[in-house]
Amino acid sequence: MNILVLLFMTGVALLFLAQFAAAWRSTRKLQGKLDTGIDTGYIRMEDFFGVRLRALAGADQVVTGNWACAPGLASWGERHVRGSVNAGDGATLDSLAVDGSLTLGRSVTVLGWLDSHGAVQVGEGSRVAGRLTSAASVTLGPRCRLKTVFAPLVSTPPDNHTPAPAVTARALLSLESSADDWHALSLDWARVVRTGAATIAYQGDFRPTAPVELLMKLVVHGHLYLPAGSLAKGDIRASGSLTLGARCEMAGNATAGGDLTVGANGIFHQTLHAGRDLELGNGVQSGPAGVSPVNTWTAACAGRRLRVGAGVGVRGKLTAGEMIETG
Amino acid sequence: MVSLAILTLYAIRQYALALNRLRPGRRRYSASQENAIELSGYYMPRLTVIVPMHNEERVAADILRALTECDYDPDRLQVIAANDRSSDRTAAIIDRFAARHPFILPFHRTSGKPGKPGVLNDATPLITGEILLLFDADYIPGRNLLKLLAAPFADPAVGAVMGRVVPQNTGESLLSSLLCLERAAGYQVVQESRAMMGFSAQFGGTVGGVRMEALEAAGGWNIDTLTEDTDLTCRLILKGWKVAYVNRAECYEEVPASWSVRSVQLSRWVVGHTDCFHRFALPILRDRRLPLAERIDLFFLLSGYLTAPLLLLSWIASFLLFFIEPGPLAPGLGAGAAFIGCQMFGNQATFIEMGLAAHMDRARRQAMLIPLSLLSFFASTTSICAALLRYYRSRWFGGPADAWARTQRSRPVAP
Repeated sequence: MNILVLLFMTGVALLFLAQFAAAWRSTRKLQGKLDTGIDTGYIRMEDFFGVRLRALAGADQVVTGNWACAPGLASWGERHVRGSVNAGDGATLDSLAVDGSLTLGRSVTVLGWLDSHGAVQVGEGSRVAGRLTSAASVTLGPRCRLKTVFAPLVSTPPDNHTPAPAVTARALLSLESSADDWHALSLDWARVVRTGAATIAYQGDFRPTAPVELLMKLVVHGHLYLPAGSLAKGDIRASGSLTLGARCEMAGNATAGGDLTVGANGIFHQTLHAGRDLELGNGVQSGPAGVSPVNTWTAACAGRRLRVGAGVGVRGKLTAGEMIETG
Repeated sequence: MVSLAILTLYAIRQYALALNRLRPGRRRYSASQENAIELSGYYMPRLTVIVPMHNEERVAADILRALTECDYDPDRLQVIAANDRSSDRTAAIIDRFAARHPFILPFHRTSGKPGKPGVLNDATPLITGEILLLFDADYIPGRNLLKLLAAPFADPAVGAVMGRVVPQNTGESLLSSLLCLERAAGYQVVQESRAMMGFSAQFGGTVGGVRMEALEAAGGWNIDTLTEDTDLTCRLILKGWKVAYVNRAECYEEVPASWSVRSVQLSRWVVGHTDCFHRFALPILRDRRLPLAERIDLFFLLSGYLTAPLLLLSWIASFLLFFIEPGPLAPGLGAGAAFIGCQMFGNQATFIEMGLAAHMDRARRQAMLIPLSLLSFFASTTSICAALLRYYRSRWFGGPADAWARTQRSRPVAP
């Protein structure tokens, strides 16, 4: 037999044996071990970074009184400030855990995260690359860019926009509504499928011609548009885009596979979730504290971008896969 | 050649799922997946957790303790500890926990059809939550898990949700180490990849939940099946509901540590799953509301265990072809091609999934075990073929059918 063939076959056989030998060795090393890859004690906390730094910060990272960062100055490293913080225009910060209040001037850049026990003011044109959390409130100036914000109240300053007129007359749509009720709103009864005791699926775009009051959960396989002044008492979902006209109220959750738009002066009480972009129009509010029957906090989450208009107030979290932008 | 063609189709599916999971920079998660992570703790519906137990004194205290330590609002939580005709200390353990925690409701079942579907059916009238979560008794839920599993239900299209199962007794035996690899491939790669494509997940009957409204619409639990979870998955999908998968909702389980226990577990899955294939494969293929790709994927999913006898046939054919005339070259090539085809396209795709899962989980030590998974593969193929033989004998000739059998635990008895 050719010597080269013999060598090749021996090499292959050795490789074959080597992989089994390595496998067997690994088996012996794994013997008796329990998997510890999951942290079963883990609890999700919005202000995790601040809590961690306060617990672990060394003496060189702690500032005992108030701390000010001069305009244009850059400060590196994580700091725990036991007083309040004031960052001047154009300053660059890393990450801060602040026990007092926190004020960022214009065009401040934060490379890490911010956490404050007091109120937070974010100046015009500032950017925060990581999380921004506050135990009191966050006020975002115009043209800010952030990733995630959480506070009992996250707001943007009001502008002088004229609120849309209130709507009082709404057509009722419920599980018991007749074909005529649906046709009166230019909706096709033949596309309605009841999938459960409280849920209706609608095949195709759902565009009623007048304000509606939805008393059931609604799943739309297409785009969903609710005219100004509509009220959705149950959860709603659209596989495409979901658009709520001005002064609409969402008592349940709203989910969109595509873009989700909440018109001016809209109110939501639970969660908003968009697979792509989410827009909160001027004056949008998450319902007053205590009104929501399910949650303490509300949340608005965008897969891509979240645009926040003027005069918006949200109790809880705003988060976006790419960026939150204020108008 | 026919079996080779079918196996190649299966292999293409497995490769497609693995490549989809591997695609760098891929961030296209379904809305329900993102809901689970970003909105966990923001949507907290009233939950009921059922833990079916039959002679579970080894593990009962662990899961009940873990549930009492969860960070879900106790006023919105009900735990039904369902004791199904236990003859050991399970009932006493349940009563001890119920006395200390008002949200734990003991349910002692003394009659009825044995098995998990029967327990779930009998416990249904006691449920007060709008969402029902299920855990097998050997599972240990983490503190944050209930919030993660509840969040996808904010989407009214979601009828059920499935979390990720992670074996804890990895190093108990060679088999448990190999099963750890298999589980990782099944969840980290296959389930996650299917979810990324927007397909419904397979509800596994544990570390998961179902919306009570959807359960009622689908007709409740089927007590005549050995895999009530797959059965429910199919009925939910046919009723227009989605099944969400949350890879981050990880929970420890105990996998079989001996081949005999594994064989019993696998036989139950094979029979139940194949029975679902016969009942639901065609209705799903004909359901035009579902995207074509999802229908085809579900068909492959339901018929998965049928590849084992095909593989066995291919191996036998390869062996026989090798010795059949005329001439030594043609059959040798044919046999070689068939064998290599089976290995390359039938098996290798599965091993690639295991390697990919181990890489993503950063489990380098376990990745080294992949060559040894051939052992598990051959043992599983034999068990699956035997179970299918019994199933089709019973189906076609009316012999005795496989009955529900509980998986034996190996954890030491708690004091």
